[in-house]
Amino acid sequence: MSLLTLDNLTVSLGGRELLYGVSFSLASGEALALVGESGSGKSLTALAIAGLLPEGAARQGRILFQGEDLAAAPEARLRSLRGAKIGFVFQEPMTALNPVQPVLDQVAEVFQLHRGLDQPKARNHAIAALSQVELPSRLAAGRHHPHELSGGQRQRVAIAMALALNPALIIADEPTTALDPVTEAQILALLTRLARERGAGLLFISHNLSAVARVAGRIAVMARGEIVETGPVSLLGGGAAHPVTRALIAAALAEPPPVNVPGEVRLAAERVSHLYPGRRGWLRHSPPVRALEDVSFTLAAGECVGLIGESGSGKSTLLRGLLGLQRLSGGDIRIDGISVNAASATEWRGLRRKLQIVFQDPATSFDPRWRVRDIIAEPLGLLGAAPDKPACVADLLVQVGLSPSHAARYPHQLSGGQRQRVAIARALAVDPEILVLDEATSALDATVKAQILALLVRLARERHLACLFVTHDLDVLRAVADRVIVLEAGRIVEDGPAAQVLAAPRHAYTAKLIAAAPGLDAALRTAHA
Amino acid sequence: MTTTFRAGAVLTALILALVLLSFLWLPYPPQAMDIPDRLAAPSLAHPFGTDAFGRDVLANVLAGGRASLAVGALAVLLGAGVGVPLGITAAISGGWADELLSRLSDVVFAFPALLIAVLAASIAGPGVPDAVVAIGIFNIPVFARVARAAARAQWQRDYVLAAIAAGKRRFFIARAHILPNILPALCVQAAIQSSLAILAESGLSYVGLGVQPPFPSWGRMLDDAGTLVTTAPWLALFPGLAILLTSFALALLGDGLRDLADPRRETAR
Repeated sequence: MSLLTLDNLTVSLGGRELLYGVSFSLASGEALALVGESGSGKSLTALAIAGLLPEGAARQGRILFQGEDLAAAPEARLRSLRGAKIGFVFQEPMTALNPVQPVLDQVAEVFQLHRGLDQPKARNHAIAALSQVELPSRLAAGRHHPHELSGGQRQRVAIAMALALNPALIIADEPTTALDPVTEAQILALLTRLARERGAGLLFISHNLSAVARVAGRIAVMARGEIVETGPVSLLGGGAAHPVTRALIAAALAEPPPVNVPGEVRLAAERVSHLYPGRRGWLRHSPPVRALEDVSFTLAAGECVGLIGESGSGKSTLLRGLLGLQRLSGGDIRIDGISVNAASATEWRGLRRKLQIVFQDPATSFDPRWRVRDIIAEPLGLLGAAPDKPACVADLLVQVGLSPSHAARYPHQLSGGQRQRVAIARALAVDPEILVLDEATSALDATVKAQILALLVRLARERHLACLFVTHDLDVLRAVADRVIVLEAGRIVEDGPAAQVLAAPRHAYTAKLIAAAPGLDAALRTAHA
Repeated sequence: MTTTFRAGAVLTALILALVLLSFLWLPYPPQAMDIPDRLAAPSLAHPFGTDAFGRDVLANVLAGGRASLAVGALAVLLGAGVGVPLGITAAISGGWADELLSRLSDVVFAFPALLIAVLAASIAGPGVPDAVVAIGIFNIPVFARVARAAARAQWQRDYVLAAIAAGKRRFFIARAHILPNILPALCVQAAIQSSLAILAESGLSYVGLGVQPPFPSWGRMLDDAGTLVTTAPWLALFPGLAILLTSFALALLGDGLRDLADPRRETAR
């Protein structure tokens, strides 16, 4: 008998149908992945199963869990199932955990609430649960709070809480989207192993097909609230029938960019070092932190360089140095021969024109009170003589694949992909020579990401831009980079042509990064070898 | 135009109109005493009753609004006018400037408003200006703190970095990006502070530092009513209602302004 069966589930909110006739089944010990772009209804399906639909949502169809129809179950019954029989793992562990309570107590609370254990006993159970998710015992037994753990460790705690009571069904909604690839690979392996060991059904929701290939045995592809295709995960390797599935696969299988000849050097980092001074207070001492050490590289016109490294590798410090937000303690960065460290205020205005940046999060990179036309026109002040602003803005919008009518919109009226296009238009407004992209596509769906990357490659070629892609997403590098620079603990450990670095890394750290984030084809090969 | 804003605007306009009316027409001169008719309960002749000296309470509530509203509005303007720029400056400069401004606001907080009022009164003499200055100075650190906390959160946003990359100066960023985005928090704070200022004025009047007798203010009327509240409850009821209604109107107005200023509100509903 199957563990979970959705039979013709339809959900509508305010007269709009958000889910339409969703049917699938999941057996114990099986891992099923729901894939699709955001807005396709993946997360809503998960919420419907747990009875956590937003207020006012109307639901039809049946949700059979261990033979019981959850759609007809009263709220009290659902509450006792959630946590005990159905475990949830969410995308952002920081918001899923209570910031002011030690993580040990939070896990212990699950046992206190559902099993009625007293606190010392519950703590012992919690320590055991945390050791099963391989949280270092020093952290598990100590009274550590969520902010003292890394993102990966927090997600381990969240998994421990979700699995504490041995649920028969585990629902993981984009559990690794906020993590770097090495941590992501560890968390995926952990989740898969625990689900398999306990014979639980795993419903895995993701838009990362490479992760899906490593975790799931079967996939269900969703688009616009419907399931358009179901089948074994090998479907991702070929044989997919529905155009939506094919588009998702095409977006994940990045074509390497055409070889191109770099022009003159635009940016040169020369033995850049940075030391964050330690804190010398009466009560607290902390030693100085070396963020960058002897970092030297160049960036030439027409070249797309990928800079990868884990969080804490010094990427952000380097970026702040480039933007002049952080005075670097050693070495120098030259933009068109002008030293960033020695530049005067007026020289800086000149430098700002040459170097522009696109940020990661389309939600915070615009002033929510400004319209698109004002956002794009903001840097135009750098161009001495006042240009014809409305014409400039309309022209830029067309160049990034939007329409001039978008100029009157506010950021919240745009989709994630459209916002990133606006961010690119803003960066291009002053016709810069260097474009820095700080994780510019990590908040986007696979298909949208592929579109934005294609746009960037086209613009870089047309304008002969020097592009620096700061990222931890190897798919981005596979799609756009001519050259790859790998940063580890403040040092450059590898710098070479993208094809060579990604296919045959020389440094152990690079090899580890690449093994942690295989492309879709490599993931399918290893998962089913 | 939201219902909240409309209700707040109508109520505020009504209160302002009544107070302005007091300059043109009053049922009795507010200081006119009528000892035989003292402590009269509300009646047709005296709709709000009379006080211990036989003065008409309605006339005093209308005329008292002048001082109360002036003190409330001016003290908040003074507090916000000085406090908000200081708070934003502290937030965006960081380092020692932030530390200095934060400690200074602690120092101001440590002095009760009463002490500042005594100081201001010794320079300017007691009266409405004295109350405005004392309560206004007390409001400065309140606004500085709210502005600093909100501005710091905004300063971390990428759009500020983008503006820096666009070559904008800090002053421009503070004015064009930071200020409009922290306005909602400031609006709410201003509504709270103006009601507090109206009440604080009563405290100052009580010790003889605020509005000087025989000129009335709502706060003073409340204080005078204190000992008689069991025998003549109308003495406390009507000025109290006036303060309550004004606070309510300002709170609605502040909330409504915040909603109006948010471009996201159309899709939020």
